[in-house]
Amino acid sequence: MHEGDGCDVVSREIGEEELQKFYCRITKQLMGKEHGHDVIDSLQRLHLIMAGSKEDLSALSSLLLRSLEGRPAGILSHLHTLPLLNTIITYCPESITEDHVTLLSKRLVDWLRYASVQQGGVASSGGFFTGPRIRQPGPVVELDGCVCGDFFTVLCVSQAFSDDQWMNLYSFSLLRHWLITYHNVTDGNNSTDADDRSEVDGSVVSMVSATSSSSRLLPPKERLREKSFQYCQRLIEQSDRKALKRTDTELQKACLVEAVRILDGVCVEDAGCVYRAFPCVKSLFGRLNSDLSCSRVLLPIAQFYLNHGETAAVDSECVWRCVFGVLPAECFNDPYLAHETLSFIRANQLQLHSSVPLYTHYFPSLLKFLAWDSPGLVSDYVDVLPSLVTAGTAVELLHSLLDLPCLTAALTLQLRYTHTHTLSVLHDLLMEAADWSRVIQSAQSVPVLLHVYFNTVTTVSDERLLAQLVLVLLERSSLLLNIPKYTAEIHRVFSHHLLKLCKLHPSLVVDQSRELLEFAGTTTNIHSKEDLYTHVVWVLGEYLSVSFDSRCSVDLVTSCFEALEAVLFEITSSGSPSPRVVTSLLSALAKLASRSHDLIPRVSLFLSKLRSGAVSWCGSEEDVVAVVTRGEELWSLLKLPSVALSVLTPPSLATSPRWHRDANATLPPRLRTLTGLTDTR
Amino acid sequence: MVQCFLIHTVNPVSTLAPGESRVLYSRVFAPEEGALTGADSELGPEQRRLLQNEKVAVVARQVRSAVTLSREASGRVLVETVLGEELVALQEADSGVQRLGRGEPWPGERSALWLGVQSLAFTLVTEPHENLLLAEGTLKNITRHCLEHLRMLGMGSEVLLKSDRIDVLLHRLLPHGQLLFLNHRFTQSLEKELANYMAQ
Repeated sequence: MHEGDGCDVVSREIGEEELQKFYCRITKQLMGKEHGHDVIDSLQRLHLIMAGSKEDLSALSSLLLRSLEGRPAGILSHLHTLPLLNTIITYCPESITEDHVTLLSKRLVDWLRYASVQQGGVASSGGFFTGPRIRQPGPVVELDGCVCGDFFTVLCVSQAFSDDQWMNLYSFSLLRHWLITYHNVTDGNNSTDADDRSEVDGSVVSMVSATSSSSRLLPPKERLREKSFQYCQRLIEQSDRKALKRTDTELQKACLVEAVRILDGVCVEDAGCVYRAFPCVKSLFGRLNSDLSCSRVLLPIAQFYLNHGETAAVDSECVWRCVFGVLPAECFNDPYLAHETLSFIRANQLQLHSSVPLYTHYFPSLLKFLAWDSPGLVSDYVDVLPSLVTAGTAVELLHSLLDLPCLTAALTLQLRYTHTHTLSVLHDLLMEAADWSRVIQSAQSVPVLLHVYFNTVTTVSDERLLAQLVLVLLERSSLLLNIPKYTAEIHRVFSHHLLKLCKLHPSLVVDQSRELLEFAGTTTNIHSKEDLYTHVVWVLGEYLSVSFDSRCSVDLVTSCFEALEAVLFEITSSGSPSPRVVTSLLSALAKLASRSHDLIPRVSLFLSKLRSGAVSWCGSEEDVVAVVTRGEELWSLLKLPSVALSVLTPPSLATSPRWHRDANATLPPRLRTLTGLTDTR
Repeated sequence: MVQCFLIHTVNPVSTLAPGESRVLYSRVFAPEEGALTGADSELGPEQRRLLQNEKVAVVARQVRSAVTLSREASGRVLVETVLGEELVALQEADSGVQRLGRGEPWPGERSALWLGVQSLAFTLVTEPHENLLLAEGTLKNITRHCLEHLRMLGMGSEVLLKSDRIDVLLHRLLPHGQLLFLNHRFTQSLEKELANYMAQ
């Protein structure tokens, strides 16, 4: 290390002696009154030491702890010891020995519970009042100005603070982390984050929670836990006072969050504490649940209820109604609340399903966070959405996802306008909403969520539900908010998943044949949703067969054929239809004809017209080639009806993996492969 | 504890590609991942520093995107505030929190809290289960100091010149990345010391 050098570069290995010298210097600096730039410099270099070995860190920790033993003068002497220790235990908890842990636990108890309740001496910078007539400092004061009611905490104020009051602040600031690392107190939110660093096993047999009067008998670590418990209860009481300063009100909320989380962690470790903690947390919930400015405090409370509600046999439904129902609806535009709520859900997904029976029913409300801030939250919703997809919510959820941009527009209006408008005004406003940035951002998040939705819904739906979803697909394809590219994107997603659904459950096509045919028979659909249209035609051709569903009658095949045939004639006799649409119709007609040979002549008629070049409706040379080639292939196939049947409708056995053993059975797949290669699909 | 604090640009900078953010100040509180386990021991100190700067740059870009999208969505027109109106600028700041997923850029997940003041963003990166209410308050406090005492509005180069002052500020309000539960009185005591230092 270079002396007096401001940059963090290690040029060589640090020798033992040099390290000792550095430690001594830094200890002296920490004990001094003034903390100039050189101290900061030294402390910054400690980051280098962090790259050192565990033995180095242990030695450093010893030194730091020893520096806490004495009580040197000057309020700044201990300023950095605890934060520094916190850094060490974050990155290398094993470097603090068991003895050190015990030692520091005792000191923490002193500072947390027994700090002075008198105001510190007035700063001796030479004020007006000197000498024996200086006023005795009075007791510290609560945030609302009343005299301090009990022991000193971070929510007490004073003209000047004494040493131990500063240490009270620093102790509480690292307390939760200390308890998690060394005292078997868990981070109460069941997170499976692999980054968790709390490895040290304290392994002292947990004692039954003693009352505070006998806490003196507890071993140091249990005593610290007990004192932490009391500190947190006191903070919760103190937060009920109306602070005189706004920044202090915000601090009270932060303290509540911390206190509830510490209580939660302690209770997870020692279930006996639940009976002491619950009344406190419950009354806190009662106090806060109607105060929207305290919304963020309700999340740690919800975690507490989730972890201990069953132990305490308490009905938690009011908490869920608040956190999942009311808060997202009222505070949808609070980015912090949104972030923390989604983190909460992600961390507790498994448990929410079992402990909160109505969890999935809150999805309309939960989607409001996403509607407001899609870019920021879409990745959270990709994680969370599967947990909301159930047989009970599937249909409504699909509608809600498709309507997300509308929800965004409505929420924007809700914020903008204080009174209700008539429906027609709202409708007009919604039309202009398609231009709003927030609405466009929201629309951009829908396709990815739809993919997640569809991938999940197939795992929770029976055929009846899937049939309903196919109908929603067809219906909503024309009922989307008119945002550029939104409709096209959604149709692309629909097409992809329609194929997947029908492949999984081919009998869906027979089930919903009427609606599918209606869709395919409506020529306007070709122009407005070509992509989706060709996919519908394809699934009809592919799966409307008795080999996929025994209910598929000859009449059904015939009526489907006739519907598609009519469309084909219509589009080729006027206007210039897309070649893709024409070839997909041709393929579908050929497939249907292969299953009902009476239809073959009708297809052949059209195909021979193609061969003779009557394709005046075709656009470019390439299109002509594509269509005619396809026509040729199908015509050749249809000349041999039984071959056509095998190729165009192989028995479903052919798709299961036994076929390679049977020379005859391999023919359809081989021909099918060939067809597949030449098919423009 | 806090992983890092940074100040960076959120408006287009002529010398950078679109979407890039210039980092005007950064302070990383955590030792490099792998430094303790020796996973990165093959890297020299210079390489480690470059790697760290690259990670900070990734955060800056992500936050810049978030700020831009948020401002676009709210459709607010930014009004230039001048020196002397720092508190106004702070009150009108956009704020938010961005999730940094695994590998973006640290192995574990993080939360990036940000305050967008005119052309600058002040960003604090924490572990996801940190007390975000406390972190938010701390960020506001630090930002207020940076704006008031370091006169950051309008002049980017000033920030570079005063990075030692920002170091001292963080040393007090966020020692070694430790968030502190400071009530107004504790804050005042620290601010008095800071004022003494700044006056030197």
